[in-house]
Amino acid sequence: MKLGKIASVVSAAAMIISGLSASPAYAAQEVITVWADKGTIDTITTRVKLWATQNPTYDVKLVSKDFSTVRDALKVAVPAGTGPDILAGAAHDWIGNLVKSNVLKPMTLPANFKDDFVNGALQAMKFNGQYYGVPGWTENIAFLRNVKVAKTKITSINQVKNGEIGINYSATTSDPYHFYPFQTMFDAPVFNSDSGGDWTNTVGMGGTKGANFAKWLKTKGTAFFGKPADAKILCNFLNGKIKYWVTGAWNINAIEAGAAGCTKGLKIGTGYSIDPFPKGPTGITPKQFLGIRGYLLVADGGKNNRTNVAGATDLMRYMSSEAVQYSLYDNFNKTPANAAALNRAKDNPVIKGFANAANTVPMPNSPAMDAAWVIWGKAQTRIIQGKESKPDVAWSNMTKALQTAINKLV
Amino acid sequence: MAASKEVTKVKVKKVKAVYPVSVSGVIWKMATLGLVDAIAFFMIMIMVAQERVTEAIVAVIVVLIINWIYLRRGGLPAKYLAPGVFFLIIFQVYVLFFSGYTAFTNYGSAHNGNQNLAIQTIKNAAFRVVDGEDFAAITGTDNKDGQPALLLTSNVDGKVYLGKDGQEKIELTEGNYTLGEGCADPYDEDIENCAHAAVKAKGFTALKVSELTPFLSKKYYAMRIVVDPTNPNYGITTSDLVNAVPIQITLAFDEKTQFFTALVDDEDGRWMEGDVFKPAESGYYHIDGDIKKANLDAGWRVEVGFKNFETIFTDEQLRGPLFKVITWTFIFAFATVGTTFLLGMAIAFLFNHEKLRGKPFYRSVMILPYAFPAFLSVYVWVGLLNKENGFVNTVLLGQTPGSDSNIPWLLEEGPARIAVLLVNLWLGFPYMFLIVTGALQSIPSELTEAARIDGASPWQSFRLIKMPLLLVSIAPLLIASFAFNFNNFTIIYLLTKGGPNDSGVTDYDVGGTDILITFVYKIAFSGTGQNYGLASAFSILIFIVIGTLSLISFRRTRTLEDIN
Repeated sequence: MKLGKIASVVSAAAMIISGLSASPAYAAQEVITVWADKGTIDTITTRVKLWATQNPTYDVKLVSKDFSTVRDALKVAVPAGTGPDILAGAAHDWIGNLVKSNVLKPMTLPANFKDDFVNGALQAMKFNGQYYGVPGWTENIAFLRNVKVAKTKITSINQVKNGEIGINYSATTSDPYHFYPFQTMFDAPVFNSDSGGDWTNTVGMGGTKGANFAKWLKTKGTAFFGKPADAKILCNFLNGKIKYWVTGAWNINAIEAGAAGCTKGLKIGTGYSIDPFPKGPTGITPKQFLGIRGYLLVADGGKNNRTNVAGATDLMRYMSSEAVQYSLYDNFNKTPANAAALNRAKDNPVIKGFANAANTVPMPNSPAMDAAWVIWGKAQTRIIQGKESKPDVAWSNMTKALQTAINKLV
Repeated sequence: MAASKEVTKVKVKKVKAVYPVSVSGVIWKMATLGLVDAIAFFMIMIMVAQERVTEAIVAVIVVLIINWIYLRRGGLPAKYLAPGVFFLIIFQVYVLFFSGYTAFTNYGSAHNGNQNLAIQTIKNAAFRVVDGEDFAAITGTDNKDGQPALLLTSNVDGKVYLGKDGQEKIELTEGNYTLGEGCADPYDEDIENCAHAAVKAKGFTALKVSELTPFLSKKYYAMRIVVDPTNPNYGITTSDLVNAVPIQITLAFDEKTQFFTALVDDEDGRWMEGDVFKPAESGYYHIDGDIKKANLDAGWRVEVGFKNFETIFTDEQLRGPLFKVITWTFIFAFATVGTTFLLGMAIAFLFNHEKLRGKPFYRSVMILPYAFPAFLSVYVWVGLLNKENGFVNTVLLGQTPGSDSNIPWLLEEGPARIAVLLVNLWLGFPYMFLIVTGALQSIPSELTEAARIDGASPWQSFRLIKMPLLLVSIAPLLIASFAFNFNNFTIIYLLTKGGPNDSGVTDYDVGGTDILITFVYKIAFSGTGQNYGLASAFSILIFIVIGTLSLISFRRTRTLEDIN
């Protein structure tokens, strides 16, 4: 009995001590939590740390998340009150879906801030009339040419023969993003635009124009575009087995460094060139999607977990400033979304190449876009691989199914 | 009667006396209990700090019960059972009830919080930035009355104002304020050409944003500097404490009724000024609470009764894929049990031969596929089955590496289904081999000998003697194996992720080798719209299917035992 009493006193004391040591950790401290994928974290860490030293009252916590699942994680974390303040490196086409899931918070940006960015970049952060973030860097694809085997720039897709082109796409879901320039050669945009130039939720790639594209895809097929999921594109491009490669800045490092088992890397100018897309079979100038990776402001969470708007906004504006975006370009080859930084970066032939090749439209950021990729891609890849005997019918069925799926969302 | 009672009492006392209290035992007990309490106390503190009141109360009760169990004398069984029961409740019972409950809600990506969270989200987004003059802002207080005030510098003409909540901004004349040395935009480095903002003013005490208390910053966030006295919902406000912009509030919230009222027409024409939004059973705010009318974006989780089950049975987009998935699930489960059992049994009989030498060696080799972690071997199989360069195609079937005509294992529905069955056969037969070997050894050799003497052929002896005896002990295991493979998420997901997904067009992400459980996983966690409610409803149906099948089968095996 005595022992029991002593023990309970000891355990009570232990409880008090542990309680005391726990409380200081709960003293109000201005922590700004940033979620980002590994690549983004590598890119922004130095600058974020610098901001934190300039603003000593804030402590920035960078949390590494998987790019493909970070959205789902956010949708769970925010209502539970464990969400971050900022989602960094987010693709702008996530915004609609995230807004519908109640996890983003609109920002109030002064009008003069909007002039800082390249055309369309800040617009891409807007959904339903509200800005949900600031742009970080931009991505677009171009028509890369191996200069050693294709001396001159081509102007029409008709000049390209079978087996000369490389494009990354999957056997099951294709890659409508990479095929979009070819689709717009037939003037078949994914969605219609309203009078103000904003995307609507009406599928725009049906009709005769879409059917023409589908028929063209089938005629060209794998003989023209190559096999799906071809791992040898890089090597073939370096070796000159294929002359052209439809890709973006993310493959430039690999091209310049070369790959094991094939030739050494190519240098821009003498080895490869970044060209605009050639015109379509009927002379229509194609368009590419402009993708923007940005910093999004996360909504207040459950359990009274308030987003630190003042601190987060300041950090986001810092990350969108000319100096920072130039440094991200300088160190990590990210094409700045900040117009002044992009101007300074244009000395770089890669950045210049992609900027000159860009005849872009911002990729839609609506939930409709999110819903489209798989349905769109499935039909596309089946047509390319010759699995559809009537490509125009398959294509029009796809657009109808897509519209039904979208109507359920909105 | 009385006497017998006495006897029992004495016995109980004796039992107690058998276990004397040892000092080291008590110290150990107290140290462990103290540690548990310390951790629990720490967790409860955190829960309180995060205002998780219910959780905190439950935790306190649990801790008290645990302490009571271990501090009181007697109650020995409870002392053994408590940890197990504790974890059973957390990891099994709670999970079970939670998924059961979720099946009757619309829990999903658009309905992921409670109504308060939705209200908060709607309120946060219920404004439009109006085109017009905006300002660089400095937070501070008005010296006259100590009230929060903003020192505003116009981004348009550089004029400086003092702004306070509920009042029109007052222009400050030159000389009454000092412009900062840096740019109005702190991250603009072009100091010579950029606009400068006022940082100090007479009668105004500036406060650094980073030094504001949460209470004070809330006051700044709530500030509305009047622009148009006739329109109280239009004003200059700051959301980040460094910029002030004119905004129009679009929705008014009534705390009492919990309704939203539209203050302006929607830009997309979905609603008009004066429309009242009421919470509806769909988990959204709809005009007049009518789910057929327009709704506000943010949704919350509500109970929807049997709607998820209704969707399963009535959604036409779901019907096709679901039928396909269910058929394949049964084929997969039956074929897997059948093939693994037949192969396992055949090998077991082979290696059970008395004259065979080196049986232990063969038997250990046969168990290897079972001994390797499936996570590892399935990935090896993915490589072996590669269409262009996989071992199966290039070496076993002698096809040309990289050729287009190679068998598209994993890439097309038919071959992928065969591949799934083959890989599962490889993973599953050692288990069947093991249990059949064990069961065979328990069949007395006298029986087979007697059969032989009676003139039975080996086939007759196998079919009429060994097989029935085997089935008695193995049938329950076959049923268990069926139930396991019915939900064999691992192999499907690791091998094909349920794909290939290239056939037809539906809203649902469904592939050629998807079984029910991987399909449910996709509904719940992947794709663009997570739907936990629907997924939970599915898992309940799966439970019912497996439960019924198992029940029937176990009844059947009982008749087998009767034969015996």
